[in-house]
Amino acid sequence: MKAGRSALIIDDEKQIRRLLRLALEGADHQVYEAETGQAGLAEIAYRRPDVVLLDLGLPDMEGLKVLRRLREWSDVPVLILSVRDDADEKVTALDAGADDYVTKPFDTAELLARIRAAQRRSLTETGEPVFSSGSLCVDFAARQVKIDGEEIKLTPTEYSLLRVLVQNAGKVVTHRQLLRTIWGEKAESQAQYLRVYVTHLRKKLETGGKAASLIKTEVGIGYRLSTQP
Amino acid sequence: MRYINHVTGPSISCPSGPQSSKPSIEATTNGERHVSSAPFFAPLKEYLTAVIGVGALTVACWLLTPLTGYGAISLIFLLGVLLAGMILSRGPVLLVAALSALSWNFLFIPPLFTFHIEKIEDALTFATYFIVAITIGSLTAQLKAREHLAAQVQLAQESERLRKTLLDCVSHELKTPLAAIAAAGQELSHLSGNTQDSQMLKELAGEIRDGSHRLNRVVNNLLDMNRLESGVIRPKREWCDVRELLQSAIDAERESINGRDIRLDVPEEVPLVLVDHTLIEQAVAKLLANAGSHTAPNLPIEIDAEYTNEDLLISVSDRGPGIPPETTERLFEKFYRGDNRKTGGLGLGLSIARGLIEAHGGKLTVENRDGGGARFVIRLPVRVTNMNGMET
Repeated sequence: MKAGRSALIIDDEKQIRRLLRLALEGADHQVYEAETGQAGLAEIAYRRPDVVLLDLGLPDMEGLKVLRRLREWSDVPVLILSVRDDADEKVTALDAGADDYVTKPFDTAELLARIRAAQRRSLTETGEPVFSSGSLCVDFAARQVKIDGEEIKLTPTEYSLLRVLVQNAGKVVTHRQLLRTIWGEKAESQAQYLRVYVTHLRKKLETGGKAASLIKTEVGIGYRLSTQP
Repeated sequence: MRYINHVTGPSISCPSGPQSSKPSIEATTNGERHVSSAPFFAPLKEYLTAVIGVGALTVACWLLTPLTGYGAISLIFLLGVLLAGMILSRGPVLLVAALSALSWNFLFIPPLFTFHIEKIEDALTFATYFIVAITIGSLTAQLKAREHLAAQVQLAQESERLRKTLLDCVSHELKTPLAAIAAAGQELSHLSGNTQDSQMLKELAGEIRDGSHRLNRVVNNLLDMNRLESGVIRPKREWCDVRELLQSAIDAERESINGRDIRLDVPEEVPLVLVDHTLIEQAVAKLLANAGSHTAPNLPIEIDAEYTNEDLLISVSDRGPGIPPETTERLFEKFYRGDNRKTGGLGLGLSIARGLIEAHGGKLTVENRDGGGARFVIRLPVRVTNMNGMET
């Protein structure tokens, strides 16, 4: 098979690995597998995959530990696979350098979308001057936001908020990351401000068109700008 | 039931389960019933009560002696022993009997302030008093022991009934979707892959998806119930938009709502509230699932929210058959499924919803609506924010 990209699955559950392999191979990925954290780290060093799917509950070491070790020498996009629907655990993983997470049982289409978003990271960092998704268009150079071609007036804070979300389009951005980027280190505990500005921003984007679900809330974690073709 | 009937898979027997057994457990919604500890080793508090009681009685008798004479005092003491038998356990009652006999002898029978008894009739009265008091003490203690045993037997019967209902419900609710998944899976492996089979393939895949959704729901309900009962649920409050919260509950229950018209009404003036989004969303979702399973598909479900007197009120109203007045509280008991059992499920949804709301310091109640149907009302004490004073 001629594979475009490669993915490494680190999970001790054989059935989950098999299902992920099916889904990923269907999406044109070369798939590698590892059952333990140690084996996973060795595989990453050896195979250099384009994306890593990491289970948090591994038999030999905590997935979080694998992630922290990995981040010492690699910035490969990492998606956390978690069976536990615990927001704190996800936030910890995201703050430790994970790019996104998927909770088991997961939807295959959503998983693939998250993988695509995680891999897009480097594209955003190259600094495209215009972002366009569905009805939303953001021109970074002109500092201009349009919905269906109609310009929307945003306050400086609302614009900063939208810019961070757009730069991470399709990926979850934690409350802490948003607060730190927009208001600086000291504002980290001011989640209330953030919530109010998100509400303002949503309303403005809504006025310009039917964009109510553009900014998705990830409960207990942060926000995600949903992307459309 | 949605499962197609042309599959010929392995037969997994599904017991009729809750249909054949009493669906609710009385007096156990809040965990175990308290049963007093073994009667003989009553806590120190009871012994102290016994001593103080005899002391008080002695003072009263001392004051009464000039009026009644010391003979009648024994009857008052006897009344005291009887009273003690009704409220105390065996050890303290026997202590009351012994102390009162000694007190009567020492303070009332001449010669006073000695344990010596001069008159033969006094000695006889004292002996009789002592025997009667000890007998009363023993008899009441025996009665108490029997009561204790009966309570234990009842508790054992109740937990047995709970265990049986749980087993019946779980095996039925887990085995039915498992049977469907197993059957569909086996059928899939027999397909030859020709075009005729493609419709069948779709149907079987649908069966597997429905079955696994149902299993997932049952497992989640059992886990939620367990988490609630073990008291590990602690609300993690964050600032929430009420409309968004309710919309996400609706999205989560798309399947059980099954195309019904949902009318969501959240007035503009409802502020951001500080609540645990996940807990409240789950509770509202359970109410929606309940409304969905009790109303005809053509009838709407209404969700309203308002903020009043520092409380957030969320109501979920349907146009189903409503609630018979005598079942309004039983509705929230574990495994209670009402008279209409065709709706399936474990009967845990409303119990979990109430548990989630109470874990959040709120209340969940139900009432019948004018014109038919039920209205579930969540009342939550919340902190709010207003959006004034921000940058414009």
